[in-house]
Amino acid sequence: MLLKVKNLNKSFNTGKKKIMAIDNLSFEIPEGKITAFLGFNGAGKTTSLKAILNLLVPDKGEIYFEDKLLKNDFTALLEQTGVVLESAQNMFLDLTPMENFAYWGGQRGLDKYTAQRNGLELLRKFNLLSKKDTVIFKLSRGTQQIIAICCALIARPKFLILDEPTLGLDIEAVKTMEKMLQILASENVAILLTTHELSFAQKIADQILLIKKGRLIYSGTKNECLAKFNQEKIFTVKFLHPLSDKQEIGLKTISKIVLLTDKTYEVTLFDKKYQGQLLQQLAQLELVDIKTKSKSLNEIVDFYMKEGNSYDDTQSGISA
Amino acid sequence: MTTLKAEFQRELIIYRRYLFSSVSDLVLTILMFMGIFWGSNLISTGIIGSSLSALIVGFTLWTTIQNTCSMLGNDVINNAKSGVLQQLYLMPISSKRLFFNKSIVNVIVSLVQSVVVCLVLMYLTGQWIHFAPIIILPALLSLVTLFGLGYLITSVVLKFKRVGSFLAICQYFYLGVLLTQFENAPALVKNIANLLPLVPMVSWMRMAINGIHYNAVYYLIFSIVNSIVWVIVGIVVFNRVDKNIKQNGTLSFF
Repeated sequence: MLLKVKNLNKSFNTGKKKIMAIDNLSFEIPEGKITAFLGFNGAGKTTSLKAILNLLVPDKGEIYFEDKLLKNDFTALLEQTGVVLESAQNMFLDLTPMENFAYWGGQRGLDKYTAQRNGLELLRKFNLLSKKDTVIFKLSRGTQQIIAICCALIARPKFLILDEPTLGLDIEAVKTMEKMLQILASENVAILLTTHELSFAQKIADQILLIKKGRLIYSGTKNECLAKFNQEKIFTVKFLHPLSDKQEIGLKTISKIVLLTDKTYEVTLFDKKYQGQLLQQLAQLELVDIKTKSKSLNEIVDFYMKEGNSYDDTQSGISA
Repeated sequence: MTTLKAEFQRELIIYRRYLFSSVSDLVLTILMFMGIFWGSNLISTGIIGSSLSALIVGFTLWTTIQNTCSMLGNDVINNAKSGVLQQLYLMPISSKRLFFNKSIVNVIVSLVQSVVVCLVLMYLTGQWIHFAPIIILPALLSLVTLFGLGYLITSVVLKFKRVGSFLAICQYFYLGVLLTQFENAPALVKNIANLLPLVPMVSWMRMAINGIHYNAVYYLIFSIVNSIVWVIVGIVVFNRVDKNIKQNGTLSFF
């Protein structure tokens, strides 16, 4: 395991009130996987990242990097971690990408030649070679964000932390970002990212961490998470005519039927094993359209974020 | 070493990229110097003396102090405002080392700038200065004190954030301290004043350049003590502030 966070706590005193920003947070980040750290604004995502990066000292808790406990010295983690923070300039806008590579590489102990060679390699990989000598502030927001990630990757770290990497990016730039992160993960770089773009997270994440009011309320692989919420097979079926009572009774033996509009029904199978039987029955009716429906990460996050729903409610979430 | 080199290279790139601004800065410095040269003001007559040698040493010292106070402080403020400072804190070097590098670059750039201006002016006026080599020693010890002051200024910026006006007040308050000729004060006042940053070094330079008889051992000891004390004070205060901002997570609150 690349990173292990155990029982992390952080509170802030705001006048008379003590606010728990991080409440007993524990999770693990494996190598070569993309982990999406999700939660609403103020849930504690950025605070957690800052605590992991030693920008903020936690009240208690342990952080292990490559199985080594980090106490006061975070050099081992910082040497192997590239970071792009939200709403911050992560590089010098008045320098070109090549000049930034030399600077940030230098701060990470690389000589100018090695830093710029690594930087060129990254620009080539992400098709930005033509921008190597353009001053950063002349570049688009999307390109700036990718260059910032290149700067974070200049010393070829094992771990990349991205705080809201898609913020302010257009659709094309988000697609480029998706490709870029998938390439990096395939090269065994572990990626931990926070995002509010749940469709983006659903596309690229291998693991999901869900945080609410400083507490981790879900942790698991994305596939497990989606499967858990999609155990029921749901179809939206449109018929040429409304179903007769007899037809409805036939379908109700293996499924639950809800009338959506006069000719459209939501059919929820009691068990996936009846799928073949249902399709046979439907084939005998005058069908206009049939669609399968599955819960997206968006709906799952919505479920968890509702008051009272937590990790223990995962099972009830199936029918929520 | 690569971290210091990177800091230098960045400074040089910015110097070249914004050449108009860099040249304007130099012209402004030359104009200030000429004002002192042909006119007479507090800096020339006060800090070191009114001879050309005294004028040059005083001017160089003053611009170096000014740059340490304002350039370093403003650089940290700008880095913090933009968010680059957080990114710098994520580098695998200590924050102490990070600001030490910035101080060195600031002091060296400022010294080179002052020396270039002096050479240009000496060439233009045809008056080449001859100063006592002994002043190199207090000058070097002054640089050590300046590193301590650099940490103090950085600590103030990190703690109180928007401190532009405070930096300006510090600059001119300190000019007042340096203008006071503590070497002529009663022994007790002189000894206490010599604990203020740079005071024994400036007194030493003033007397050496103006050919006044002085106790070299006394000033050497006070200058060494002064530089060590202010470096330690700077580092201790910086460590406390650094710990405090990490405790409260206020590095990015600008």
